Amino acid sequence: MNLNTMNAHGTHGLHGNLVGILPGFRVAPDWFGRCFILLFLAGLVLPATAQPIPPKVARAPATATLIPLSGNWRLDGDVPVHALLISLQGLANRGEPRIYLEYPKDWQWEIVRPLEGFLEKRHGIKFDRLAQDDADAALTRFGHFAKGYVVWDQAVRSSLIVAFTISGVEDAVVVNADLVPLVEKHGLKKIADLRGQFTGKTDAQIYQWAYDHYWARCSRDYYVLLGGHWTPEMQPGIADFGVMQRAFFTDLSANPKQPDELALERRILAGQHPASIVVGWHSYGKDTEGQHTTLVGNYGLKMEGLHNLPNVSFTCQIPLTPDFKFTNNHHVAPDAKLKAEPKVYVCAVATDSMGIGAWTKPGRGEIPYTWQVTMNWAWMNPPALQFFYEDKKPNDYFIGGLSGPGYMYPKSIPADKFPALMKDARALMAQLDLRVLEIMDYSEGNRHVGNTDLPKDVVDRYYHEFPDVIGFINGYGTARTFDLRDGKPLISYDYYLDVNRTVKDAAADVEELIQLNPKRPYFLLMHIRERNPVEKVNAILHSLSEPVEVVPLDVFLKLAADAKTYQTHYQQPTDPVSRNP
Amino acid sequence: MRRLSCLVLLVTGLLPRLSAAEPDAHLLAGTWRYDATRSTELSSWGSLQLVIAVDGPRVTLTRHWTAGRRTFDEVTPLDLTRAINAVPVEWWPDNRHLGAYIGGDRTKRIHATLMDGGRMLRLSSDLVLATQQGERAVNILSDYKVSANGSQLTLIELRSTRDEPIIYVFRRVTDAAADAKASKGNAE
Repeated sequence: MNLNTMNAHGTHGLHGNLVGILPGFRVAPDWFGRCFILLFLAGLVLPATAQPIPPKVARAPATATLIPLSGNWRLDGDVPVHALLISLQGLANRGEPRIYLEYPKDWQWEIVRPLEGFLEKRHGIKFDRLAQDDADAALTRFGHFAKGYVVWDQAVRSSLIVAFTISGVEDAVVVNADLVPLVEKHGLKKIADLRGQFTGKTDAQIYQWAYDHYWARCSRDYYVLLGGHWTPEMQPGIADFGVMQRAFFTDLSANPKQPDELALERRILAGQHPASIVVGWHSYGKDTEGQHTTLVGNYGLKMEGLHNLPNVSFTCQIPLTPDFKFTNNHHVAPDAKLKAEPKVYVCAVATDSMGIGAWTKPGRGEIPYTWQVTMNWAWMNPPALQFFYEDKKPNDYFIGGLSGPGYMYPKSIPADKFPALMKDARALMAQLDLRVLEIMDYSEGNRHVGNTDLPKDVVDRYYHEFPDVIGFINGYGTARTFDLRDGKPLISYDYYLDVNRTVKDAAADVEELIQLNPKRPYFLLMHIRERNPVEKVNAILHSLSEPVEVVPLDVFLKLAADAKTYQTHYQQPTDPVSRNP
Repeated sequence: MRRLSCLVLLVTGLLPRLSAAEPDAHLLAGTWRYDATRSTELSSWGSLQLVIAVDGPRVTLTRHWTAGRRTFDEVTPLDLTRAINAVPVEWWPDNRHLGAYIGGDRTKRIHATLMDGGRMLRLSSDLVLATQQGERAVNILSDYKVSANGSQLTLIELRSTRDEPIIYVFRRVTDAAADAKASKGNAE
């Protein structure tokens, strides 16, 4: 290629402008042009590491259609009509948020309904409500966004997952045989028919067929793992977003006991863009959370749950209101130094995503409490994060997690893929005004067996990649990785509060930990499992025989930086390992 | 003559027991299933099965912990004729929700006593737990008591570091098939 020729014909005007806007910048035009073209070509060749963000509309729409869904999620129940509506939602929401599905009250993401009111009040969206599961009315309104339909085989669960792939790439709504007359009434033509296609075939064979026929046309930025609830149910809440993004869908296993599925899953993950995202969840019927999140990390990709996360095709397009900015309740300046007293300091942290946790349950605001923010919601669900940030009370403090820009296990991420991921995490933390990162690793164990600790080299990586944090926390269940460098502690959970643990037993637990750790100050970091309400934690801490001081995490870390009564500890070669079979 | 016969019978009948002066723990033997409704909650496990095998003075306690598809078997072999049984500890499965881990030389030293006519087994265990602040010697007093009709076993544990007792109530498993179907709890 003749660079001089390209320079003369393609970039001369542009580089001239660049020189013009850089006063005093004097280089030979020919040299500059060569550099520019080389950089341009490098951009084409080198993969981008930042996750592409779906575009947002300038402002939330004045009106949108709301369709309530029933509570029946059986494949032989209402899943067929729900699948139709979810696929239609994904197609209709391309370019503009038009359809919001109202999931049932007992949906795992309890944020659905509070968010509905927030979108109305704060974003000014007026919802036009259809009748429950009214696919006929929905097709009347939005059928023109589909070019046709794809029929899944009611006798083969995985055919529905393949149908979602076809839905995205062919602009087709998803139907079972019973719903064909309805979509044809609305003028839609058959694009694909999976009935009988997969009879007697394994999932590995079914998804291989889908791979051979559709994968090349699917997104390399998004891959949907549509697992979760197993037969006779399916909860494909995330499928609208996958259809919208023309993603490839499977529920392939990461379990070595299913080597054919695992091999194909590896092939798919290897084909996605570096540092891109896998949305959805592992299959409850095939493998474990630990196995699949580990596998995703092996390829330097991000996991973002769950399979039933709803309405992302709608919420990802809603911008923050112009008057809003993410502002945390910081209690100390980043460079502040606090003096710890000889007492017990307790910090309670809720993770498991605020959207399924205790945010709306009693007691919030009564005591200092720390909440782990699902950071990718900055682009997947901005209005939900705006809701949390605006709804926070003075005692609520936000931190980032989990382990990076998504749900990931650092021990499973190859060292050379770590920096690109953590660059994205730093950007999200800056955007969301977060100064603490939570780390969790289930690649070699869990809160029952194995270990959840970090070896020194992984700890080194975090300190290197996050120079601006005030500290880290680690674990899910308890862990024993502790460190302090340059005034920035890494503290692991010393207590895990199970949902079923009574106040009396939990108080005895905490008192035992206080006995086991006799030096003062003692820094007791508690992880509060999702549905435990704040009022329960408050009751536990108020029933102790010894007074403790409950502090938010930023204060906790600053105090822990002042008095290192904990011993530096990393994962040891002799620690038990369980690969989460 | 009649008295002599009775004496011979008595002596020969007692011989198996007296010959070794062995403690007899057969009342404790069996498979026992944790009863969640009458026990301290199992954090962080979902279920617990206790198997007590008795072979003369040798008693083996196997605790089978489960949470969803995760399991762990902790086996504690004891010789009741020995003053101290030193038992290696791979890791401490009790109360994994607490930041305390097996430390020291990873050994539990157990003094076992059979009491009350073999109805009760008392263990006094010394071990070292490691926490964020270092190592701490802990004693655990464990009483395994069988109910009068033999259908229930109650384990009361007193840890030197804990102000409240831990109480696990077990029911004797008579139907292995039903036990296999019993809930094993959840795991994320």
